[in-house]
Amino acid sequence: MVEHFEMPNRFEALSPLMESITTRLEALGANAGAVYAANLALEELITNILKYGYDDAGEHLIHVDLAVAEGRFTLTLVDDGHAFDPFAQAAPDTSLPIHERPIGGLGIHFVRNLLDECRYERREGKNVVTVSKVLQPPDPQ
Amino acid sequence: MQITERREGNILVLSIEGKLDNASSDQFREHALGHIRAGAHALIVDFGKTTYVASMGIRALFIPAQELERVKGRLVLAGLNKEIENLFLIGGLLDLFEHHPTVEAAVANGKW
Repeated sequence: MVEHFEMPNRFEALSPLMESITTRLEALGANAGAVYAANLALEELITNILKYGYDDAGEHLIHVDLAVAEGRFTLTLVDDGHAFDPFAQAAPDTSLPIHERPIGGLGIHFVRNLLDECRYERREGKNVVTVSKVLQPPDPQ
Repeated sequence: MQITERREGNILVLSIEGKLDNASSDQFREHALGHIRAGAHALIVDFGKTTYVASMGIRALFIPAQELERVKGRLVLAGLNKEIENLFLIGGLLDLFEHHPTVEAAVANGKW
């Protein structure tokens, strides 16, 4: 099963997209941990696209496919912004005190840790980011 | 996100209801900083009714925490649910913020 969602490149369109995908995931049997991970991935990855993806002021569509199979959900995000691999940056040094922490990197670090699989490819002039996780992950320890 | 406030003696409790997401993080940070500048030096941030926190929401705690450190005040977290606590853990932040299961425990056992 694959369902298609899309949003224009405007910040106010992000929350409604996250709510639509949350509703579908819950109906498909996702538990709280899976829903949290999906929302965090959508918010952190799409916030990056909205902030850094485009030079022009025109409208762009960000596409999200939700696939569920074999007890696992997969989100595929496609945008036509600058080529950018969110998973290419080094993980932040989480041993630093707060005042020495750099501004960026924490969101993607969360995505990498909460999702089971994170992939990037540049395909036909578009960024394609794929993340997946089981629908019923065990509670964090 | 909705922020509600109450006092427990000289401790200010800020409760975050709903989502502390990337969009609402600035609002929370400014709200907390406003109280700190007005003299609140003992602050509990209550996540008991918080359903979701994103990276910028967590980052919104950094400047208030540093500001309180500068004036010898204290910022204590309460009521983190397991998903939110896990984010603090992944970010290497759980040891940097004193945290308690409930506001009552934070009031009674916080290192004020």
